[in-house]
Amino acid sequence: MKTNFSTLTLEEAVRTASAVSTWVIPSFIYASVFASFCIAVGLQWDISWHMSVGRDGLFSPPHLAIYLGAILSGVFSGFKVLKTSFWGSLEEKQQTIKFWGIFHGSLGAMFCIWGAFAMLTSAPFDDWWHNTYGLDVKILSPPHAVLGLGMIVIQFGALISVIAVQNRLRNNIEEKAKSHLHWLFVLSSGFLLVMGYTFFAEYFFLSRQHHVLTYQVAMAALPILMVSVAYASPYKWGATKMAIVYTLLMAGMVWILPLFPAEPMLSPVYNYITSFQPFHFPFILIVPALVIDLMVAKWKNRNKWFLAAALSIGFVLSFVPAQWYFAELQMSEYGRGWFFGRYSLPYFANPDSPYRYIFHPNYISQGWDLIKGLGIAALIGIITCRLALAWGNWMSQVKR
Amino acid sequence: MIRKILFPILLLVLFTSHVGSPGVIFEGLLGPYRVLANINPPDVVPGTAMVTVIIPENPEGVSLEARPVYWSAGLKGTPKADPLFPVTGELGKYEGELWFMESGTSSVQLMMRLGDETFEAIIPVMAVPTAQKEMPVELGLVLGLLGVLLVVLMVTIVASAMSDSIREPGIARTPKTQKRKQIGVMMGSIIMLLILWGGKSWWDAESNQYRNYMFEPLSGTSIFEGNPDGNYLYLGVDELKTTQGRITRKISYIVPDHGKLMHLFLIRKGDLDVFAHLHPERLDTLNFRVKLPPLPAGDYHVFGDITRYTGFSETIVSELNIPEPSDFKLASNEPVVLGRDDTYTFSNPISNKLITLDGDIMICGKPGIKTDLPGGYSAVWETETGKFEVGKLYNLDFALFDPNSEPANLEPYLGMMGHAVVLKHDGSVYIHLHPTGNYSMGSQQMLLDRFKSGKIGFTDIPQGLSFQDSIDEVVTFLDTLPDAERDSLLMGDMVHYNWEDPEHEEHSMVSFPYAFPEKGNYRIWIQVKIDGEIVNGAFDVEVE
Repeated sequence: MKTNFSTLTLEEAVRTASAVSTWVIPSFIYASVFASFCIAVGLQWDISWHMSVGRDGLFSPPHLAIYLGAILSGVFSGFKVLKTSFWGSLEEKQQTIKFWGIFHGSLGAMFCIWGAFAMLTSAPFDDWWHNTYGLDVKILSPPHAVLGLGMIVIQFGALISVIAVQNRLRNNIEEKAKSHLHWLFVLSSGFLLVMGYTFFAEYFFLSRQHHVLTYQVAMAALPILMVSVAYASPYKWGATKMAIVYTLLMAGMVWILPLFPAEPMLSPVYNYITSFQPFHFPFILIVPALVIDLMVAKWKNRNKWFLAAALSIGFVLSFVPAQWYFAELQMSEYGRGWFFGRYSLPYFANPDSPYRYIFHPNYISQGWDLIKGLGIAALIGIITCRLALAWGNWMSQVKR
Repeated sequence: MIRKILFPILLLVLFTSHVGSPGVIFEGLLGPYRVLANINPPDVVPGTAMVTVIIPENPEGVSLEARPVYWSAGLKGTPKADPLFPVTGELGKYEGELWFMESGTSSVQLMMRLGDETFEAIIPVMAVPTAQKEMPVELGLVLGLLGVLLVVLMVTIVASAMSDSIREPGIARTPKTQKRKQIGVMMGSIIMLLILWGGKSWWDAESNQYRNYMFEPLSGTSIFEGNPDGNYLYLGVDELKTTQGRITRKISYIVPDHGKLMHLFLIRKGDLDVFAHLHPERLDTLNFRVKLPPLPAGDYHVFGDITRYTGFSETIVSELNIPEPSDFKLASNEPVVLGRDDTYTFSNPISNKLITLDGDIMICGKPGIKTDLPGGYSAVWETETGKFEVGKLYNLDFALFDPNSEPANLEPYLGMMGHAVVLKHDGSVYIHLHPTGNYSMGSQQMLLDRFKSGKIGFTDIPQGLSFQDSIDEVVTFLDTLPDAERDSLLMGDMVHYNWEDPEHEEHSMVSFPYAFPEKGNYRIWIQVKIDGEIVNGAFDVEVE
């Protein structure tokens, strides 16, 4: 009886705690993850817009999607920080970081605020840039980099916010909240990967995918995101789930965008298109993600340099052949349908270009060059994987 | 992105196809109406051009639209046009903004819809980046403050990430976390400094690249040479850097404009009292030669106007020193036989110092005053107020009279009813005008031909050298034709917009539309043909 009683009491206590814990995920975290989604979709859409319509304004639909992300995360995070700082209870304050003497905020919220301010800063900077050096019709320019940093930091803030809640509560929450956190984690990590890919997409064009530079850049940019998430993930298959979200979002844009009509509005038009031209079909990152997840699960407690080397070599050995032949498939006749979006060509590109359906002859690596280049890629990967492990280790400890 | 130019802080405007006068002015007929257009080309590319159209009659029921058509893209490669909107408060005036996305030869296709009919004109625009700008102080301050906020906040974030963020909730700070925080501040600062330094190098590199591709005018070296059969000017054109439009501005693509490969203007520096309009022959791709009239010694401005197959027209800028006559006394004393279309004239120096020139000296006219010209002719620059404001579009109207003070009967000179050259006294503005505007008509013709061909891109275009040979043959052929036949050939192929104004005696007046780009004093030479003779006039005007 007594035991039963105490068990009941315990259950009661746990239930009360769980009831509280249903609301443990603050609304700004949902807002941040949604903001991250808006940014990822808005960016893919904006690139497609520039390939199809060309002319845009400050308030073009893709820009609005991106701004919505900035505003949502900035306002929700900023409000949360102000609320905790000036009207928060002691307990709330104890769960946050005190900075500049007066403010109390979570690290994720601070990242989101930084990102929103960076995006705000980029607007007048970009405008001046256009008036001074001409419209920059490329992904990477200094003002775009400020904007891109803002976007990626917001997305990173969303991920950190989710992780901090996860780390703080562990299993001390009910199933529904747990599943929400799981989803939020997977989604926010996947959206971040979309951004990481897009930032370097100028090196990832299909016609360059038989060249080592593509893989060297990939090894510099991608493991740092995928390995850190796999390492910090409290869930199994963290990197794989991340890669699936990345793949579905990118591929989804390739399938959905061309359903909408578009007409080029800037001269000169070489390619007479009538619908939106989608951006890249995603990398086959699910393959190296599986390898990362297996290795991290097996060797999580081994020496980090050993793990980094194993991860880098595993990444190169799984990803390069997979992507190499996947690229070949996309180049081939079989790859030309709607699925891979291979028809996609900007209005300003010559549709009769001899390089349209081949790997660009300037970007083909063979023989010793290929081996040497991939060796360099693996060396780059060891460094980025090691950084990613440190980062992942840190992420697994963030609680505020 | 369509944005107004928020920061008009033009530090330095380099020269485009005409020196110091970037605006393109067009006058012509669209259907039944006389139309004036003023295009302010983009100063950075990609960038926007402002198009202003005036229909003095202000007709009802017309709608105007325009689009930028590149030589390389053609009509087919150009998206649909944008409407030009009426300017409130100014009758018959329309305005619109157009995007020019690439460097190269472009044009504005102006279309007027009247009922079911559409009338159109092609106005050449050379789209090249010319402006080098600095950041305004206010914007710099705002961006600087935001930058400081971003740096400080990021350092805070890094420091917090390393210390407070991994502290269990409810646990107080310890000396250890404090120390980690200090390390975090240091690391964050180093990272931010590295990012700022990287950003600065990147920005500088972008800025240098922009400067590399910024338009540089063609320059040349002019050499005076006294030969037994007369004095010659040799003009060697300097080669362009590879960043300056390798196909578009290829020098072997020169085509005749008004039947001539190059219209060369010599104006004596400082006094602007000597003016010559000559037409050099081509020796090879980069070298030209022309026989000089008996010009007095001194330093001369040399402006050579050319147009290319790719429609790109521009002015070659050079300088010539003509030595004192003692240096070339050995030259033949026989009268100089000039090319039949070449001409020169003397006028009073702008400084009003004593006139030391031999021969017919003409006294420069002023707006509104009848002025005597060499050969007994006279001219009046007709204006309503006699005042000219900078940036405002005017018709510079000149009425010409024969020696009996009767309205003169103007004949075509090189296919046009008149030519004019405008030079600012300090030499910083130079432009060659026609009654149709200040654009190159050769360029317009090249654009029209190209659009008719339906071709797109830079492939499938002629080779430089064989092209050059065939052009030389055409020019030689034109030179052998008698005047009347040649003029009808030159004019017949050209869209000749010469409106008929019932108020004036037919063809006794010539009118040049122009907007002065800067304040200051200008001298304008006009050239017309009366009774088979080229008649020059010169006028001075102050623009406020």
